[in-house]
Amino acid sequence: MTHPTPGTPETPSGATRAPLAEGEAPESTPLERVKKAYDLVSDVVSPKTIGIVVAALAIIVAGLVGGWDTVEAVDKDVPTVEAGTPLATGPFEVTLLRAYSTDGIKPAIYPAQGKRYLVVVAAIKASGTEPQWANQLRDVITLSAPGLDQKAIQPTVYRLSDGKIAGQAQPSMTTEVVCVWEQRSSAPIPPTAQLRVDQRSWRQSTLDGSFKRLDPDPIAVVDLPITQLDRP
Amino acid sequence: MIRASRETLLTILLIVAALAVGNVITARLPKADEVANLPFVHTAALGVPVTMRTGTFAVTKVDASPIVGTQLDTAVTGGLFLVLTVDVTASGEPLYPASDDLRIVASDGREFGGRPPVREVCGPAQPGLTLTCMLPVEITPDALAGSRLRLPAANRDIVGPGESEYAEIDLGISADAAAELAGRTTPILLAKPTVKGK
Amino acid sequence: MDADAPSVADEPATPRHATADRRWWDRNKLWLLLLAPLLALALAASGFRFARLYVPWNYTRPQVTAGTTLTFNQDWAYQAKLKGHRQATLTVVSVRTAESEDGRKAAPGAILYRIELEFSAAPDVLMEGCKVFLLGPDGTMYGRGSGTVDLPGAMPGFSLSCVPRDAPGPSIDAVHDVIKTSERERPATWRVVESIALPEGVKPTQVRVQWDPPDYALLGVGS
Repeated sequence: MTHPTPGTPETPSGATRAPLAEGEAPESTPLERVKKAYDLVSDVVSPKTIGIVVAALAIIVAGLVGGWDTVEAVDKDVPTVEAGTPLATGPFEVTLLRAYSTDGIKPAIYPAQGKRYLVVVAAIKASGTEPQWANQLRDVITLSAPGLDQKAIQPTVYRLSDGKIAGQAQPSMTTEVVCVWEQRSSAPIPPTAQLRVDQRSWRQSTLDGSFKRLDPDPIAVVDLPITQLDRP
Repeated sequence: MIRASRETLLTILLIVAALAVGNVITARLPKADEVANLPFVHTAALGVPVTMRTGTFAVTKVDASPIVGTQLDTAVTGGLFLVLTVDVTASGEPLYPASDDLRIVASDGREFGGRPPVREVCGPAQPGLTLTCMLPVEITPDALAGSRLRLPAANRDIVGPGESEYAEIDLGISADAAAELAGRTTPILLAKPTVKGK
Repeated sequence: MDADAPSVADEPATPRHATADRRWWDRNKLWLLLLAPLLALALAASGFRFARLYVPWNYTRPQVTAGTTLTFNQDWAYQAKLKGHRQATLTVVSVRTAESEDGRKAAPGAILYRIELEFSAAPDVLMEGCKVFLLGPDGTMYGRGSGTVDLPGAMPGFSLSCVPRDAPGPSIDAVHDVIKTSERERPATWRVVESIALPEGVKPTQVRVQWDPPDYALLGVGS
């Protein structure tokens, strides 16, 4: 059965094709197949609706396979290192050396009622090319011990060479410092000083645009045996 | 369905190209911030006075020792204290020279300085009267040769931008002089700031 | 029919674009009126860089007299927690050279000046924390603690006493953030003495007295 063709059939691009011979079906390109399928539903849905449906399906399917679950924080294993290992913390390279407990070492660390001092000796060397405030050690070293005042600004950092309060550590130069924490004397002296060392990155704060040492990231735990000093 | 005609494609390409070219141009042009923040640098040498907006400064002497002190206090370092004798003549109003903000800059770019463990507070320098101060800087001996002093015109304001005017004073320390300075061991007593008579 | 499509009845003298302009103005009247205030707000919002120009952190407002007496008025605030008003009559009693004052004498190349001032204020006015300067002919400021040498054995005062030592009147308790006042009421009038060393050859022409920024007082030195 032939269907009378009303003139030359036109393809969508406007170019004309040779007229069909009798019985020959038009070549069905992929585009034309899609067009045919679309024609079937074009009275019900528009391309926009189809797009929305496909996007919604994608979101739902992603959720079904766990794409929208909370990402678990990766629990890093913080390695325990030996005393004397240099650790890169950001502002300095820190080497934790020894720990003591004492009731006071005059004249720098004054004995006081109800207080005991936990002392850690460390060597620091400013990384980079500029001096770094030694009390940044407060941001990279945390001591776990009972009886510490969590709200106090500690430790206090002194220079080992002359007992003065540590100011800035110079680059390329190793300075030995003494970090002093105050502990309530009613708390027991722990057998070891457990110190967690964090590293921080120097970046712009998203809050106010200033550069700060942010993102504390634990890199090591050091256990220093505590020697009791009896000197008053 | 969107039919991407030749015209549309060409327009898209032109827009992307224009954005890319604009990006490259703005990245290469100097920004207002960079120009506004260019520092005012005055170069000088040991013994040569340099005038900045806050006053006139001259480094007259360089000494070194591992031990420095005042009458009340002593500091010891494993490296070296470089002690600079500086003459300060303020202009306009009394001045505390920027003794904590100054830096000794080594030839490889390392900077040394900051609040020293002992000091005799330098200042206030009265306009028209020259004040002589001794300023210690903790440094490693290998940074001495070819080092220079970067002295800001004033102390850093707590609020506001950092100081942008400073003097770069070549301390004239040759390698031999550096070795000799590094070998000094006599403790240095920091004198109280004194006013130089005319 | 579209109201502004040209028809035969329209006057040929009304060009089409003029009518369109008028409609544009009508449509956008509100936003055009708001344009100026919004621009001003945008400029103010980007003015953070110039905070130092409008925040009163510097001494920028002098109260000047060529004579030796001035009634000084300013508002003060302490860390946004406390505030008050300071009204005082300041008088320059004398500005004279002196051999020594308060355990100090002039360093070589300098001359010591003794400045005597009289302050007069109600007993509840906060008057602590003042600073006194001498100004030279070119406006250079000269202050205390410089250009002087301690006399042997003397204990010079550390800072200027702006109020009588035994009856200072109100002061700020920085620990508790309150104003506390001395037991003895401060007298209505009292004297303040400051000593400042000037380089030889520089004669003081004005006395500057200040407490909190931005206001300060400038008085003449008298005869």
